[in-house]
Amino acid sequence: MKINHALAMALSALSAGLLISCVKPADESKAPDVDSQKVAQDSATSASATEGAGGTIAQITAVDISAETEQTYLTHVANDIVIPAYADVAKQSDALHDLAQKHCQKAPVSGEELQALRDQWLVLAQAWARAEMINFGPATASMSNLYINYYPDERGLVHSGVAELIAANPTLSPEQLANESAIVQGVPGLEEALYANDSLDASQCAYVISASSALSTRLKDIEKNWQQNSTELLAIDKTAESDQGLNQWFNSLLSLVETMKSNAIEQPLGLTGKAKGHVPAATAGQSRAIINAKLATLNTALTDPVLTAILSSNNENNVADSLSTALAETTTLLAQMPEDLTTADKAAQQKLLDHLTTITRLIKRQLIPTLGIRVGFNSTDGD
Amino acid sequence: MQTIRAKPAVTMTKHFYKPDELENRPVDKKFAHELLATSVLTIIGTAGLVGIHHRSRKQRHPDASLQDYVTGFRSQLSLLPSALKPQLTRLRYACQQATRAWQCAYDAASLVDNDNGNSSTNFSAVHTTTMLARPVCWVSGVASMPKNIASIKDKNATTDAHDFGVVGIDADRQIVWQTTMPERVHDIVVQPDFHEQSEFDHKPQSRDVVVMGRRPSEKFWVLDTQTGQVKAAIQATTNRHFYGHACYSLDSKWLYVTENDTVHLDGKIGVYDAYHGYRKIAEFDSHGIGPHELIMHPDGDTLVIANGGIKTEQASREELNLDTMRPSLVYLNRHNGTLLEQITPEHNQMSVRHLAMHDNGTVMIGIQFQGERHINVPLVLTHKRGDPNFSPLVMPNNQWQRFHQYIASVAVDSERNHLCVTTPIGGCAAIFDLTTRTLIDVVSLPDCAGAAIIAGKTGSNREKLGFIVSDGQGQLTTLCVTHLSTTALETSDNIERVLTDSQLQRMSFDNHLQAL
Repeated sequence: MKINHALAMALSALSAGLLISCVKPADESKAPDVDSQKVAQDSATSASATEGAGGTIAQITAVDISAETEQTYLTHVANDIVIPAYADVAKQSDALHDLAQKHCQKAPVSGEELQALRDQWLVLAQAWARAEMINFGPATASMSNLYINYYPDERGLVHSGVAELIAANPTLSPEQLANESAIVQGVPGLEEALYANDSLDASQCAYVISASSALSTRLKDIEKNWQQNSTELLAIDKTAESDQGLNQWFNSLLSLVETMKSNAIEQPLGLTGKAKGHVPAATAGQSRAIINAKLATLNTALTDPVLTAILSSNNENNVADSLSTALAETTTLLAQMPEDLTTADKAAQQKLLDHLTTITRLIKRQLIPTLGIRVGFNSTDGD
Repeated sequence: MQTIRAKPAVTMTKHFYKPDELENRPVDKKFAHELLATSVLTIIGTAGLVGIHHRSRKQRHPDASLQDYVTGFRSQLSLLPSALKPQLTRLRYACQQATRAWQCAYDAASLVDNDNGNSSTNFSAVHTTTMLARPVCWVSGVASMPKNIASIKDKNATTDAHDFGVVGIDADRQIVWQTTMPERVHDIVVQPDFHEQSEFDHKPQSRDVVVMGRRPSEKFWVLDTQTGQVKAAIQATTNRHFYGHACYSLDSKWLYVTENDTVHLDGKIGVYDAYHGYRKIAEFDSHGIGPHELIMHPDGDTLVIANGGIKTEQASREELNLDTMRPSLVYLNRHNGTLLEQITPEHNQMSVRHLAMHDNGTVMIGIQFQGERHINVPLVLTHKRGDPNFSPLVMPNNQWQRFHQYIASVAVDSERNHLCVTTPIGGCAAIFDLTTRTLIDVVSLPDCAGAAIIAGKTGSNREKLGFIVSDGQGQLTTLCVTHLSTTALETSDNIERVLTDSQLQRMSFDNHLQAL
């Protein structure tokens, strides 16, 4: 072989190597709906990858949200959804505290007076159920939400804990209670005291007054924290560089549906396996009211006019419409069920679960992709 | 195919030393002739090689066209003036990739020639890899992965939560390669860069990266570190499934994998020969139930195993023994499986799950507490061989509930004596000072899980040292510990704080991130 042959071979290898290494990926030029991932997946997975919640194949186009629009929306979320939600639950806790002070002047408390306290507790429990859509920030930092709602209580710790605490501390003060374990505080503790007894004696009255007072303090601290730090908590000042606030907010709403579906319906009603845990407000027999409050708050957040306007900017009204329809259908179904969901027939329970699954899918597969954000999964399904 | 065989190179050498051939012709005429001939031959040779590559590429991607070569070359060329230095580094890698690509084309052609139904598996049928010519610094499992690298920046690109894959990430936190995976993956294990070897060793030329399927997967995959190409898929043996973690011996020859005996539900450590197709050659008892992460001790002879203590059945993630679980940290002789030491935590529901090894031999431990939520237990512990108990780090006011009873990953920077832990449920990452054993700072990072040290000093990270944390919302965030200024110290109790810088990718990063 001559030198030019050898040189040509070397140069050929070099130039071909350069061209090959720089080659544009072949599937770059493909249409977006062509699946280049030749991966054998099971049928369920395949279905989830292509089908919308209603079973129709949907091509999602993300809306173009400017940093200013995102900032406006997140400010609206903080001022008009989040802070009022905490303010309302604090107000209802105050109302229970005032009512308890009024009726407990003459213990034992029973009959209409006890019923009035129970009714106000339900209003408070529903207000907190609405505020639970905010699954981040000061309410969940350091698991402080456990001091407001220790749920689910799989071992019945609240029942025995509250009884033992009242027996040991007949004149319990709010300050004393604040330092006790999470299992004897907040909404479930009050539920236990108000519903597990036919009448309230002086020590039980002291507990209700202290527990509602300690709860009010906690809730007002959260509200104040949000008022002072909403910009940081929802990353409102970072919309130009990231969608962190938007991600956080919608993943929080998704978490509300998923947690409600799993902890409040699927597991306690034993719909997909062995029954585990209990429905919310089980002692009060008011699980429907709690689920209804959560659905109402989801409806408020997901059919919010500012959000709808954002979705409409890309003619994606069908996402908002689908969500609104699904939420309305679920609310209608729930209204036809008994107050205590454990007494509903299995078919109705399963139907409720299916409806919530539909809402979950709509949020995951349509709303979140339309907003150009991602479904977080490490926090709900780690290892 | 014969045109690219190496044999003619020997002949070429013989002709190079024939001076009489040069002397008998006029120099300029001869040079012009040679130049023309060389040019023509180069063009033909280039066309031939590209043609071969294109042919093999066309089999995997029917839409591939010859235009892609020109487009790709132009785009690489256009990048040169904007960032010359990093691009020169990339050019070096481009040359390496070119060599590798040439070999791939050659091998692919050889496979076609020798296609007699041999055992070679065509992984391109089940995995799609796209890559750019840049050095890789980290690897991670992902979900919601765009179909190819080109659409990573495209906000409208369709993805699904079930688009699982593995990605290689460069120093600038950009995706270098991505490979699809048929299921969700967990740990990604990088083969150590071990140089001391004899000429008789069968050490492969490039480092492997092992991708573990997520518990209770029965598969792991072996990929090429720099290109992401799948080299092998390994199936669990009968009555075994993997627990999602593995580690290499320091000499890179052996891979140790945590496994479950699905008959007796005992923890096992599978030993695989990394130099011979990852054949399983032995199995040890993990001396516990539910072994999760395992790491090598710097002595090179000891395996450190986190026995999570949670019993699960085949193809199931349901915990069967939460009340009676017995987690432990186990030190095992890696050569014969002898139990050297076993330590149990203070509470039987403190599941020992994730580990990192300090250069000084101290094991960093991330706990996942499986007990009642109101119970406050330490979640970050350390242990050194010979110590009778674990030593918890210090949280202000003992506030371990800040981490919501769940640590997803631990990463240690031995040089600076810092430890980074992540908690997706707590939505934050924290850095501890291992000298004082106290918390330096906590930063809010929703859905964060993967943590690794910033190993490279190239790209825009060259001035930054510390950790990189990945999250399910697509962010790769650097965490750097900085001393506060005198002014700032007046308003803060801490003398240090953590500064963050995030880069967004259009995919969800899974539990673990590993540095190369």
